Amino acid sequence: MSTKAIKRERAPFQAWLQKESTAGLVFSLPFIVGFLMFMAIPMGLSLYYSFCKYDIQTAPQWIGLDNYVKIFTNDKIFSKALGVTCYFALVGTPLKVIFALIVALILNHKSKAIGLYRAVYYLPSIIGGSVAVAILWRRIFESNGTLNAILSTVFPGMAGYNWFSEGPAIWVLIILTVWQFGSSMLIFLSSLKQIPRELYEAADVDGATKFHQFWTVTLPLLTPTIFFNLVQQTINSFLAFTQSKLITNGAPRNSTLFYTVYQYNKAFPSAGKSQMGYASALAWIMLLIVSLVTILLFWTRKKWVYDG
Amino acid sequence: MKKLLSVLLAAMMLLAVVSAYAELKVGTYDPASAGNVELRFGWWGNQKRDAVTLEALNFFTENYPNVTFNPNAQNWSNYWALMSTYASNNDLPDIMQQDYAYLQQWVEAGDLLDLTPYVESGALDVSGLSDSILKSGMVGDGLYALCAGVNAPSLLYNKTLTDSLDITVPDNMTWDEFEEISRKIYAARGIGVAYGEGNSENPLTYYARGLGYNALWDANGVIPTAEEMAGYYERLVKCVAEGWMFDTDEQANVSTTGDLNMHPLVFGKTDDVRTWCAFAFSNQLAAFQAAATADGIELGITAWPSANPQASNYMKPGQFFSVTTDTKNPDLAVAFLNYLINDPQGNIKLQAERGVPANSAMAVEIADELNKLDATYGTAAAYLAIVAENSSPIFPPLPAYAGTANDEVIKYLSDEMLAPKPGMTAEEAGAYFVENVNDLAANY
Amino acid sequence: MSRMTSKKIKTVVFHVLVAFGGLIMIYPLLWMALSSFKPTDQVLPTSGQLIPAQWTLDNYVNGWKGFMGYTFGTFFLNSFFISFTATFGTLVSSAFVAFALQRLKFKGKKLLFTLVLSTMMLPAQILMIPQFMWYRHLNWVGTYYPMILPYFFAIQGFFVYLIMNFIGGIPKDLDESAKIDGCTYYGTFFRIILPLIVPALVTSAIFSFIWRWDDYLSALLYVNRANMRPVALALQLFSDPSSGSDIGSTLAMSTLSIVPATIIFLIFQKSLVEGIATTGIKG
Repeated sequence: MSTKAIKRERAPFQAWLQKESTAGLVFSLPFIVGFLMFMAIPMGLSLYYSFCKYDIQTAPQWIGLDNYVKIFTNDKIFSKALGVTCYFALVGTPLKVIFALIVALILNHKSKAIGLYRAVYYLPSIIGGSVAVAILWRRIFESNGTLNAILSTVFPGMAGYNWFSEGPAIWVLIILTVWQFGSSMLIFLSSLKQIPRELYEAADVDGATKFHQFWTVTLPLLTPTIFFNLVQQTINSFLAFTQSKLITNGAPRNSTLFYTVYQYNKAFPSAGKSQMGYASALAWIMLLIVSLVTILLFWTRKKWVYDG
Repeated sequence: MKKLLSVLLAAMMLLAVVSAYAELKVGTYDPASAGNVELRFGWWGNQKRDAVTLEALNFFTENYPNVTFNPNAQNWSNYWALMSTYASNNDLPDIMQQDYAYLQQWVEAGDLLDLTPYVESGALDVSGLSDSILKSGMVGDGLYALCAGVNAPSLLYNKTLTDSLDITVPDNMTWDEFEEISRKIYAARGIGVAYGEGNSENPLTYYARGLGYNALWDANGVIPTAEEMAGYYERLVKCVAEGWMFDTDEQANVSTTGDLNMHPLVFGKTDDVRTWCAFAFSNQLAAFQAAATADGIELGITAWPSANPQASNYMKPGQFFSVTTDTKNPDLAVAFLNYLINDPQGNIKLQAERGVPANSAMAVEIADELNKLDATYGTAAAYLAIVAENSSPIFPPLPAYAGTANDEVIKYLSDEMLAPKPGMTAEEAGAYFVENVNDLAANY
Repeated sequence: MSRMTSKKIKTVVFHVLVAFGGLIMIYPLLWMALSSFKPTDQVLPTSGQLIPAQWTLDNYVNGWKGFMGYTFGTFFLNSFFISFTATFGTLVSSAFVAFALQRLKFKGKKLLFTLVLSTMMLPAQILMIPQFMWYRHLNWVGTYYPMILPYFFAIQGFFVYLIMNFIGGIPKDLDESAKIDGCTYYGTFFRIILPLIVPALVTSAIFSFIWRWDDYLSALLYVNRANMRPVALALQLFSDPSSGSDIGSTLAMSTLSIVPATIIFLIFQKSLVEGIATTGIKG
């Protein structure tokens, strides 16, 4: 009798648990809890700070829209840093993704040495922002450095060319970010593995060339991954920090000053009071910009991404 | 009679050094009476500073096993980010290293303990510190910091180079003499001068003091006139136009991103990416010399050039130690501070790595020991002795807006005026400087 | 020319080109590793030459000594502990959430996805202060909790989105047929999806491990004892701009610090080569 009752009671709960809408929430639960616990509160606080004058050491003071007004009307460096960052993101990201795709296709081979090759092409991304990279990158690009030594054998005019001067300097950082394409490459490689082999076999039967196969099978099936890498790398480039901080620190004349570095310098200046409120306002403006760019990307998604 | 006395004194001092093991100079409070406590101590620095500081801490705990330390060392930028975070939570370490540029702002935020009562009660012995050094740790009537080591602005130069060109770099040279030497070296070897250090207020302060003012700015704003400030920028534009001073592009090509090991004075493959001097501070001599030795360069040290070097130059507290208001054991913290400042054994362990000890009698007492540990110590100390005779009292602690002015005004103008094509005229720069700094001062 | 020789030539050309490109890619790493065996004052002056003229282990001996009385041995153990646990948490939680967002229909899904993406867009440097305030409220300062626990709640949108993308590549028929066989959504996830997203999990594990390993900002704020420091934070102490840096020791310890990630990569990349994903997808 009693067991029956329990069973009857359990059944609706079981049924409820098995419903798709419930399962969806159950599986999402970690994120829902995590977001509320660890993200929502800090994000709310930072939004609040963006309307305050806040030096960290003393309590925040509400000043309304002052920070935002100052950013848009009386901050030359803001627009400069934003311009530099947009250039870096819009030029660097496509280059990096294309490069990662090409290398992934090349390394998607069966060969004994392939593991080693992959490691070799991936490892540069591991050392990302280390001091070693900072030192070496300067040694390569300085006016009497390795790059000019090689270039000047072909173009004598390049001897002594100053890559760190205003203009080319940002390219030094773009090349660095393209060089560290490893994470995108890895994502491409693992999704290349996902493409069912029989699709290729079918194409083989049809007598398609390798090139044709690439256009009709590989590329369409990769478009979701290309899209993913594009979104992720675009966001990443807008938030890029270490390249600028370590290698140029914004020089010359802020022409390589990334937005986040500017923001960091406001939050934690090397001398003087923190302007955490101002920095938070900068962060929220960036969040808005990145969101817009991401929405734009998602809007184009329907047009070129293959949905299985 | 006098001679006898000094011999006697020396013997007594020696005795004091020998017997110091038994009794550390901690003032009137006995750390042993504190019970089992932990002191937190924060500082910025590198591995060397870490090692010497740790030795001094260990020596203290050997004598007072009831005290343990929780040291927290970070590099400069991480240090300030961390400390301001701690401050926001009233969780600062008991003792923290401080910097002259930050002192005013930290006192205003109420984070540092006024040490005056401890001086009055005898718990803190400051008798070894000169008046001007002691004053440098004061804000208003309160004493908030004690000098950890004395410093002075120093022009470090490539003595091997100047010797080879038969150029003597005079002590206390004027800016005109400096230009003359720079032009000569540039003509002979194409080696220039990097003025990128101009991104801080130090050279501007030095310039203002050369004009006869005590400081660059105070709570109300800029002290020199706009015309006088224009003179500073006019000078930069002229020197860049003459070719020997690096413009922003050339500066970026040798940019050190702050690391002195890669400063063009001590590093660079060819002459066009090298400089003959660096605008530095005397406690950096050891590190610069270490970096220069690989290239076989011997460094010289002299004052920064100025229209009037005696008026411009100053003895600067290199770093400070402060007790914070978050400490739960102020008496013990003060006793430990007393040890850091006055104890000869402790200071031998510290190896004058933070600068020549501020307690000058003690500095003399342990000079031989320090010389043994670091060959450049003698050079730096000798230079400081010259500065002591040829300088004016230091400017008051920087106004709280100084850091922001640094980032927003000085760096901007230095970028504009050192550019290959200056972004504005010197007059405009002078006016911009005064207007914007005054604006900051009014609205801070 | 016979087919065989042209194929052979192709293989040789492939290897030569890939190896050459690889050499360019790896050069900075080689430079770092080899320079760490030069005497520290020779690293910069001889930065043009790769092979040390004079080999020494001084940098390793000196660097290993570490800071504040603790050697790098301690720091490495700390880093391992933090990186492994946080990575484990990230993988488990992100896979769950990704499955829900990619495969299940439920109310608020769009909003959740937007929030997942938004977590990728706020830079860590800005969130760190408000986060600190909150974690202090939870009494977590001075512990490893802030560096581990949040990762058990899929707070890194990147991983959720990455795994979603992979689940999207698995044919839907598989879920459908599992459902017809009487599998619940939970069963589908554990029995069908989970085995198929191993490459994605491996990729995520590599990324997460490296990111946790390199993260010094949170360690800076939350670790307040010298013996709790991870490697990334300790490495920062070698270079202080105003007091000079020990470049040799920096390079030596940096070299050691990438060894674990390299080994993990070499072990796990095999599962990428073998392509576990293709084995079940015939259905």
